[in-house]
Amino acid sequence: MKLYDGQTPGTPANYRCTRRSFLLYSLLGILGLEIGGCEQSGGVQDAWLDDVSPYPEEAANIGREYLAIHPEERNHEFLVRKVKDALLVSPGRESSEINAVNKVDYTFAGLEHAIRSEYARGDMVNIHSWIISPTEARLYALFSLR
Amino acid sequence: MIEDALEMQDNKDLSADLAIIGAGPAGITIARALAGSKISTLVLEAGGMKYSAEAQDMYAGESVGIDYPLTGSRLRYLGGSSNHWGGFCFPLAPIDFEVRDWVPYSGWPIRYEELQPYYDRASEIVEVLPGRFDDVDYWNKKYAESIPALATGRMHLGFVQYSPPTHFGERYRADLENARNIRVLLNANVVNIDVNENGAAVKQLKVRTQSGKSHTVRARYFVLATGGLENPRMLLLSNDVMKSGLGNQNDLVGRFFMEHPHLQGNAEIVAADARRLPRLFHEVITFNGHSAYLAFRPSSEFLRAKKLLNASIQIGFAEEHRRSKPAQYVGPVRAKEQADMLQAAHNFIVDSSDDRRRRDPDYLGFWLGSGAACEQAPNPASRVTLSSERDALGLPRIRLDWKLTEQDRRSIMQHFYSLALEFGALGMGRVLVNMRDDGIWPDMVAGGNHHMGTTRMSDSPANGVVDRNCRVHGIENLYVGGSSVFPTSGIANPTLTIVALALRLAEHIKGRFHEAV
Repeated sequence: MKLYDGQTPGTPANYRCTRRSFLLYSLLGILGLEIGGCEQSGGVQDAWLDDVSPYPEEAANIGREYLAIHPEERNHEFLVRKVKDALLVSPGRESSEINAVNKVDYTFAGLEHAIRSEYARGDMVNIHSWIISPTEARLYALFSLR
Repeated sequence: MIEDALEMQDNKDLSADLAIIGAGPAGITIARALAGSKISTLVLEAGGMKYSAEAQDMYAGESVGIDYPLTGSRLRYLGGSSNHWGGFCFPLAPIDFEVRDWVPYSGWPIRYEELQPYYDRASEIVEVLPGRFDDVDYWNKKYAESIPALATGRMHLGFVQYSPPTHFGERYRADLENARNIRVLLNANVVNIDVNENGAAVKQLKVRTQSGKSHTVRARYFVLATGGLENPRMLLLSNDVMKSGLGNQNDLVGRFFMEHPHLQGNAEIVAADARRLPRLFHEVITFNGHSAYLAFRPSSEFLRAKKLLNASIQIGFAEEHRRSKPAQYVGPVRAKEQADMLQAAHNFIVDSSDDRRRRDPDYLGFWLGSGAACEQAPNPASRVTLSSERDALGLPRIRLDWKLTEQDRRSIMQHFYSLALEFGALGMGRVLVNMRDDGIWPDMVAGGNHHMGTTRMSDSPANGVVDRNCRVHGIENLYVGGSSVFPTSGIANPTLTIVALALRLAEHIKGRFHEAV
């Protein structure tokens, strides 16, 4: 099953709507993907971003700095789409992996992998001398837009 | 035998098979390599057995480029600058010897493989382990940690080994005293290298003491080994026959002065999970009686792909960040920035299976500082010339115009970025590169007391002062020892290479004597 190409994923029999899997599906819901097994509730950004950092204020501080440098990205949908793009291009993650919904770190692992891959590829942004991956920066930017 | 020229009668005519000017690591190594042979060797040391301000003043001069401590960066007494050596040892890398089309004037006439056996012997002389400079497994036996493979392809891990450090004057004094064919003369300042009428051979050395005594020294062969600043000075001021100085027919003596620009604190790393960051990465390792420290260095592939110069970056623990006690050393603004990053990136740099926050809610993480040393590209405008000022013996003092280029700066910026990328890719931490990428060198740049390139080695006299055997082009019996012969600086602290080249030169000189028998 292909989760990230916009098609409907199936729902494994042993699926449990864990917090972290819910978070990913929330993200995908924002992107207009048809998903099953878990309903998206309100506060979409709040829902899935909480899993990215347990310190939203500090993440937002960095995100604000990023958006001050890149004001053209001050758009929630744009940022979410860029995060999704990063997940799509993240090499080394097969569809079987991303559908293994029983893995507790399912969503976070995907983001972490995408971010680590950007570092490994040399993709970086400079936020007042901090050198971080573009997707990581955009995640922090999303915190600042909450 | 060690004697003092101050105590000798005036106007002595001294002779030996080989005269070595300078008793630092190069001069002492050559003399020791010849100990016990039939080659009578006279070592002329301008200073005494101990430091004296009077002798040291001969090193004063003018610094007209990047500010440089001409007196403080070297020492003029038995053992030379090894007397304040920090003991950092590692060899140049193979790529450092290559012609790199992106590095002007690069390429040694010898390859790494030719010097490698001498590196092993040099390691023993400076009391470090031969090999082991890239041996992660060997040094990791101390901790037996899991060492992650670097992820970006931009860097590799190497080690600096620490010599005790070996102070050559003290450590090898007994060898010099006991060797029947070696004579060391202290307080013997060479004031001119006299050549014959066509400048093709050295006839003798003129020697003076600061007390006013004069002597001459005759030999079949001569080695100038007075350091990367004094070597060109001696060649330039010996201009009674060759008006531009010895070996300077192509205006190369003194040019290409190189240092290893050192940058302290230009990368700050925040981390929170000590288990993700091996101690090997940031602690001095003492194992089996030897010490080493890991360094992050650019891979040859990355240097070639991006056309960069070499570098070496080491990191060290600075302090913890706690909620109740922010980091102190960096000031409140930076401390908050670091704490913000530690918290924002927490999930990316901490293993959730063992989050220390659960046991210690006050703990945020820690930060590490960095020290970087950079390769400087050979630059003919970075140079040593003679000043109009004169020293106590009436000799022209040195005038140094140290210059760095945009290529040098751009390279180290990229290597700091590489460090940041590695830490990110491995989930070990986040890195702040505290250096503006604005084309301007930071004010805080300093050298490492490494004086290189001023009598560079080349097969062609058009491109160098000495040939592959360290013989001055056009002068049959004059050799140069020390880091002044380095055509490029690489990134290795030079002493190990100086000693390796001195061993090689000693073998060459031995061969010349054998040819003559």
